[in-house]
Amino acid sequence: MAFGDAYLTYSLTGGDLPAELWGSETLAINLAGGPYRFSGLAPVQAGWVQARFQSLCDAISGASAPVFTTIHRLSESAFREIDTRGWEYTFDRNYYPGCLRLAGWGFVAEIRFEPGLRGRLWTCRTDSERFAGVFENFFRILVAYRVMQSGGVLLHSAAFARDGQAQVVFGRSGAGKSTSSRFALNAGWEVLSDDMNALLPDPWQVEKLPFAGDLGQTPSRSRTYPIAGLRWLQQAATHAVRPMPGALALARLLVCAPVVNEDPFRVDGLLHNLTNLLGHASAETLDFARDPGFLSLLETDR
Amino acid sequence: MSAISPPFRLCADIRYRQIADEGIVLRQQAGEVLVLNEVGARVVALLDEGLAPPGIVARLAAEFDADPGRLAIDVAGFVAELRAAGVIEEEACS
Repeated sequence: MAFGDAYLTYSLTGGDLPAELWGSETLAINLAGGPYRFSGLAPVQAGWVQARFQSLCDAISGASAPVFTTIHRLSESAFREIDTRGWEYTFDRNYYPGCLRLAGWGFVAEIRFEPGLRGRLWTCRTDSERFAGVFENFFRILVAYRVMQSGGVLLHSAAFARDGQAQVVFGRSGAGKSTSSRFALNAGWEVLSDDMNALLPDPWQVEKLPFAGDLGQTPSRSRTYPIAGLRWLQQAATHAVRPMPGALALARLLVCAPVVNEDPFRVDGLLHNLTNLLGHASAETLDFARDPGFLSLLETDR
Repeated sequence: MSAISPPFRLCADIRYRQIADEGIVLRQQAGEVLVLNEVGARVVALLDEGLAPPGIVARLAAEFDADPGRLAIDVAGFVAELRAAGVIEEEACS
């Protein structure tokens, strides 16, 4: 099946896609590697973005945002009707030396990497529910690349902070990131996110992102904390923290770095960043027995 | 099977990194990451340098003070596994 066939009613290439914007609204979202500027939004789309990202969201001043995306109108007839019963959603990605093309449910997008990070998003959606899905998927990918360009990594992980430092707990889906986050929250730790965190260098720190999993957004006193440790989370009968060889740690971090780890043209940069990270933060395996007892292990090794 | 051991190269979708004495092989098309121990990492590094299996055996025998006969068997087996896994391919003749 060719790129986009699952989502598009006819083949589209960059040259075929219309330049028409949805509207004239411009906003910036200020988080890891940003601000991320979005132009061409319809008022209803801009309203959703403001409501979703709240204090992170500003009316843009000047043109200094390092990441710039335009939002374009594409006819609903360009997209297939999709029966979502029992459907597992994965969008199409085509990687090129200079860009990434995406096609998904109700959208087509392109991210260009030089000069600077530039996105174009075509969608037929303005209704909050469907535009939300389109925007969230696109934005997370944009953040993943921007964080990588900034020397860091967007990591599928939970991060808990206490006494000015954060533990970053990463692992496969179902390993217990949300469950462990809930225990940490109940024990008085701050939870930055139970699903996705940005790890950025100089010095290495974890930055809270508005991308939460089952736990949802929880308050925290700071958006960034120094990294106290990296813990590969895996379920076990008893709690333990065990040494993890560097190569295994690198492999495990790599599999938890979404999108970029599949990009043949940008994965070398990701590997470089992860190797740098492992030179500055300890990485260990955290055996997790699905009760709060693991938290004492995180406290004692700080 | 050829009696001459050809040089190999990493397949196009493979990324290899060494960290301390160990290595990781990322197979992008398969979405897999393999972790290699010290000797496995050294074999892949030497393959990536362009050495054919006999040259690898000679280098490992010197580096690890190991029996070349035993090493030749182990290296041949490991190289076969790497080929079967799509990590390496024969270098094309020019």
